[in-house]
Amino acid sequence: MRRGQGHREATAPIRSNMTPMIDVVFLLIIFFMLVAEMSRARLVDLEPPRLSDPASVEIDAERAVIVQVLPESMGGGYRLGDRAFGGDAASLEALGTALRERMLAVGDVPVLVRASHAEPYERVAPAIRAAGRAGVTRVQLVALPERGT
Amino acid sequence: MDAHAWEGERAVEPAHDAVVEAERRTRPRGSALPVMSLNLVTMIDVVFLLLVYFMLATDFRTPEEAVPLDLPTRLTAPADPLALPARPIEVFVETMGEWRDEYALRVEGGGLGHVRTVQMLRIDTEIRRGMDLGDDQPFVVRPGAGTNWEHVLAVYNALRGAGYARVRLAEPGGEG
Repeated sequence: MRRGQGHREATAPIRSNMTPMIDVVFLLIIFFMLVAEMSRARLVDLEPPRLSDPASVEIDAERAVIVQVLPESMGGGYRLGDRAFGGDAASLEALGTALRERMLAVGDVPVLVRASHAEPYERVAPAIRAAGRAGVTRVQLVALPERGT
Repeated sequence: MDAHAWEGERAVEPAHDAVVEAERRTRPRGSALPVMSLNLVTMIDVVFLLLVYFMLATDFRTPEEAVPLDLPTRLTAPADPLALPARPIEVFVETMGEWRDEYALRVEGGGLGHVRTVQMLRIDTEIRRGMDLGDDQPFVVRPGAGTNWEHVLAVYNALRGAGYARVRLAEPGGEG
């Protein structure tokens, strides 16, 4: 090694390249956002009825207890949290019991009934009835509001 | 700035290296002008990351809301013994049409027999609230067999929106 060369290497300015670091930091942010999104996805992929002139209120998504009516394409039945229930009388009884237990645990929060817009009423009514039997005082029906501009 | 000095300032990225190398080759011999180069690759990287970040952060769906439903058990308030019990107005609704996206509406009682649409129901009941229909006038929504949930909820929503609190959804099958 020549002398001059060694000298030049020793005094070369140290520069950190910020770009890849920002890349990686943003990737990490997006990764954690996606993970948070996935762990929050408790809602079944269905489209609630649209209301053109809604008398609806905002949902307290953190606290609300949601009973979902699963469409026939997803096998029918009902869902409370991550527990699934069938459509027969015994399963509805179990749904009512589970609801009562949940209400005892979380206190007085509204129970949301979430069903697809194309669901026959015969399949939604048992969920409302189960909530009534479980002693729920506040039942709310989930909809997609369409407020005029 | 000579070729030797260029090698000392070399960037880390191979793509950048290639650009610089190509420009150095095409430069006329003996030219001492420094090469102006902008590293686009990493900038596009970051821009796309920002794009994905903001797309994730934005919620494109309409936020869902909920219509409050008062269950019959909650409506048994202490009744005024002198008041005449108001007979509930019955609203029959049924899904119709080839695509099952239309509905038929019929109202029994309260002189609302002419009402055929949800919008009419909303307007007519709202302007008559406090006049010949009391604030506590009870309504019963009676969906026919196989009625779509959206039509049931639309009727219910119209009556709630008109200001009536005592609206009840009948059990499927007619009774109740």
